[in-house]
Amino acid sequence: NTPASSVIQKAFRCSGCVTGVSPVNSRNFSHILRSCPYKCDRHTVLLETEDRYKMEVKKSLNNKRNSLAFNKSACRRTDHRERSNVDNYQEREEAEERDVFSFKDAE
Amino acid sequence: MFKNKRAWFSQSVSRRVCDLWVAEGGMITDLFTADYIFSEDACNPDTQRIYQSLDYVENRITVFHASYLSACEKSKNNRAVSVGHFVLPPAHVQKDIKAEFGCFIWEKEDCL
Ligand SMILES: [Zn+2]
Repeated sequence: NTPASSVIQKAFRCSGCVTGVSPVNSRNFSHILRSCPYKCDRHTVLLETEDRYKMEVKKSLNNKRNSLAFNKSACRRTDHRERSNVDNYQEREEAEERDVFSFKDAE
Repeated sequence: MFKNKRAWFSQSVSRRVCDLWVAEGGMITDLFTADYIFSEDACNPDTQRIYQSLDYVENRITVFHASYLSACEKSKNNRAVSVGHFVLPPAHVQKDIKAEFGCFIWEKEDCL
């Protein structure tokens, strides 16, 4: 078929564009779209651009975690420090960990 | 139209739109239990926080623009409106998409 019709055909079967197939929501949309072989150009570019963005965020999340892990080990090595100092360190660490929150444990 | 559906709304979403969701049988819940995550501003702190979360980065959550609700209201049935056209990506991603495809569906009025 001619390219024009294949473009229309693609949008017609792109699971990011069609409706009513299965209840799509904020939880399953990314998975449904990623596993769709008929993605239209717009949804293809959307995924690619989002993935680049997510890579950057992942890197900064890891740096944050590594710096957390490093502080943790540093904290244990100098245990002669009095208790209170270590305790409020825990609060600060939990606060930082909450930034890197995940809904995983909520399900 | 939104019976038994649970949504979380960013501060950027107007009261009217939230009321529409509830009027059509939808429930408003928190980020952890919501099926739908709606915002109208990718730069709003509560929306940016989602884009920085582990769940967003690991593809477990997608933010939709709240104008999806008014589109459903206009068409009087949410079966006909594809929520996939209302994905609200981070501002940086939006810039690249607009460069290639032009305005987003919710920008149609002010973009022309
Ligand atoms: Zn599509």
